[in-house]
This record gives sequence, structure tokens and C-alpha cells, in this order.
Amino acid sequence: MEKDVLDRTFRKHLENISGLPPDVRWNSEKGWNDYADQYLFKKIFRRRLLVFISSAAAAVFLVLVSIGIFRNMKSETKSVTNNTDRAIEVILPDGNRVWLNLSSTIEFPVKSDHNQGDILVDGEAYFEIRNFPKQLYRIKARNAVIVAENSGSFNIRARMHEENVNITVASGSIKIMEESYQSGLALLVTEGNYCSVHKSQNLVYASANRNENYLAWKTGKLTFRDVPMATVTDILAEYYRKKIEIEDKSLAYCLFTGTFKGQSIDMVLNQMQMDLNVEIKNTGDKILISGKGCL
Amino acid sequence: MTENLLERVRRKERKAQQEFYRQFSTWLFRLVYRYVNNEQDAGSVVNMGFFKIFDHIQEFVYHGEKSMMAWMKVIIINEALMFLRQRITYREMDAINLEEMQVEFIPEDNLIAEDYYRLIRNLPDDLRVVFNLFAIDGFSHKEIADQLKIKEASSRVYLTRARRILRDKLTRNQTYYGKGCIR
Repeated sequence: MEKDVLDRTFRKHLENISGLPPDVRWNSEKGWNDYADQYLFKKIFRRRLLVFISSAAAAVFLVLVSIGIFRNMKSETKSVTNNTDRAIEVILPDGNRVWLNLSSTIEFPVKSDHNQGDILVDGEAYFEIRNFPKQLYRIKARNAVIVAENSGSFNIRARMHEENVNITVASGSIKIMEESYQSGLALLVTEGNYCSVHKSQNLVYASANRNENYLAWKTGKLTFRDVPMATVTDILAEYYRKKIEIEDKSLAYCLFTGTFKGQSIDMVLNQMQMDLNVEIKNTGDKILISGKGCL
Repeated sequence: MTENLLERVRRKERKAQQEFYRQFSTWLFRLVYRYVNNEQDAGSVVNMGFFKIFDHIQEFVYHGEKSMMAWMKVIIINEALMFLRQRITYREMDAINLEEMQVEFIPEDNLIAEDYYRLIRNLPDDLRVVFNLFAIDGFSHKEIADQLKIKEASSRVYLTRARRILRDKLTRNQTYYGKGCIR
């Protein structure tokens, strides 16, 4: 029967397949490291911890060391790096929350002290500051210095390969300056605005934020309201980590509207091809968009 | 895979587990990626599956590598379905005139295996799961219905719709079209 032919055809071809799909970055080594971290480390750590604390001498040592640490701790810092494949949340010692994007690091003081040191950010992080320490809340991201004096929330993007450090304020207000001009003027950036600090030219400027998707990495939500396709494909390429090319330049200016939450790239592309006069080819290596355009 | 490796895995030797993981993880990733369709999630499901495999490998009676792979396949598919249960809602489908769906199908010769793999992955979530279970991994409609908590008739409808989309895409040589079809 015809339907069996289709099933058999697929089965036959899949039997001949080996290795990983070309568009996949996962590999066996990475998989094993993740497995070991998640399933083996905890078990081994628990076992060793039980052995350690069951020893009387170890227990005494633990107490003495704890007292020593408590007394002598100065500006001890802790560093957290997100090596996973999704955003992670970090609770700071003062109870404030930070979310780290992929391949991002935060370093922060672990002791609640009067002279709380700077928090350092590399990559991309979203802060929610609700519990306020005595001192100013200072964050450094490359050559940008961000100072929070009141409760608020903001996203810091400081990627090595980008020209600017971009800080977008979701709520409240923050002050931003370039590190070599700290004694000079600071820009006050309020809710709904963003600030860019240039990597090498020491320029700082602020503007209204028109990028609705600056937090897509954390929320999983992508919103496009009459956005040019050139911008849409840039955002999709970064979010889904795919290469996307517009083959016909006239398409770049077509406006796209759509909202997606937690959906795969294929569902987004399906929506696009239904709404626009386009042809979409997914070759595995990249996604190609072509067509007559929106005229 | 040697029986010696299996014995060492049963003794929970870490190096042996790593070697075992290396040997089978790519194949299992391929399998899961057909279901889960997201690289990060597929990696997580593979690892959940290995955790179960290592946990239950003592009880497994070895009759050769093929039988062991079949056993692992059942475990990993189960993990994938449990994972997807949170993401996909399977609705009961109205019985349709299945005869209308059957159109002559001529297999394409100019596509490679990777193209077929991608076609399955590009199916809508619910259709993809049922097509994978029935057409590729050999589950019956009754088994699918039990797993997905739907009626057998709904499983048949999901399968028919999946086949129709795949047939359509194969006959157009895998190119997608939107409004204002370009030829």
C-alpha cells in the first residue's frame, strides 16, 4: 500500500544515517561532561562530604576553619560562569537576583561588608535590585561603570566581539559612566531607555530603547511589530544560533509582525512564509530567505 | 561493544561508563533529536536516558549488542515522551475519511538521508511524535494511544496528517512555499 511505501522510504534512509546532523553543536564529549556534572559530581561530592564530616577531627577542623574565615574574610569574591545551554539565575549574597546569559560570567563579593566591592560582568546579565546595601551598588562591565542607588532592573550586555557595552533599563534608574571619566559626569538612564558605552572611543550616549527583544534570551519571547526583515533575521540568528541570509535584498525592508514564545525556529519560519511572499530553504547549514518582496 | 565493557559498566566503573557513553550517545542523540527537535533539550534527554540506563543495567540480560540497543532505545524514547508531555498537548482528533488522504506516492531519488531526517524534524510537534513512533520506531497505534493518553483513532489521524505533509513536501522537493507561490 502507498502509505507503507512512504514509511519504508523514510526508515530506509534513516538506517543509512550516521554521525550528528550538520547543524548540531552538541557532541559526545560535551554531553559526557554535562552528564558528569549533573549526575556524577553530586553523588561523589555527597559521598566525600559524608566521609569528611563523620570524622571527629574533621568536624573540629571545620569549626576552627569556619571561625577563621569569618574573622579574616576581607574582599573574598565568588565567580559564576554560565557554561550551560540556557539562562541561569544567581542569587547574590544580599538577596538580589541576577540572570546570566550563555557564556557569561559574574564575579561578586561574598562577604557582606561595609565596603562592598564592585560586581564584575562579562557577557550578558540581567539584574533585579530590590534589597539595597548600605553602599552604592557598583557594577563594572568592560569599560562601563554602572551605579544603582535605588531599586530597579536592567540588562547589561558586554560581549567581547561588540563595539559597545549596552545597558537597557527595565525599571528604576541607574547612573552610567565610562571608567576613565569616573570623576566626571555620569548619565542618568531611566526606565525604557538604554545607554551605550563605546569600547575604545570612551563615548557614552543614551537613547530610548526600541528593541523589544533585548531580553528574549531570558524570557524566551520574541516580539516583532513592523520590524524590517533585515533586523528580524539578525535577532532570530542570534536567538536561535543559526545563520540566516536574505538572498533578495528587496526583502530586507519588508516589515514583519509576529510574537513567539518558546517556539522552534521552524515555527517562526512557517509563520513568516505564511505572512510574507517568501520562499524559505533550510539547508541545515543555514536558512535562506528569498522572494519577490512586499511590493 | 564487548561484554567486558558491559561488566565494567555494571560495576559502575566511571571510565567504563564514559566509554559506553561515547559509543552510544551519538546514535541516541540522533534518535532523541527526531522527537525533541531542540538541540539543548535533546542533550538533556539523552543524559536523563543514560542515567536510567546506568541505573537499570544490572537487571538487563545481555543477548548481544542489537538487543541491548533495542532496550536502550525503549528507555530513551520513554524519556523523550515524558519530556515532551510538558510541551505538547495531544488532542483527540475527529475520525476523517482516511481514503481521501491516500494519493499515489513516488519515492524521491534526489534527496539524501539527511533531508529525510530534516523533513521529520520539521513536522508539527504532535504529528512528528506519532510519525516517529509508528513509522520509524515500530510502535503500534494501541501502544501510541497508551503512551500519549489518546484514542487509537486519534493516533491514526495524527499519522495520516503527518504522512500527507511529508508526501507533499517530498513531491515539491523539500522547498517551502508561502502565500503567492513562486515557481
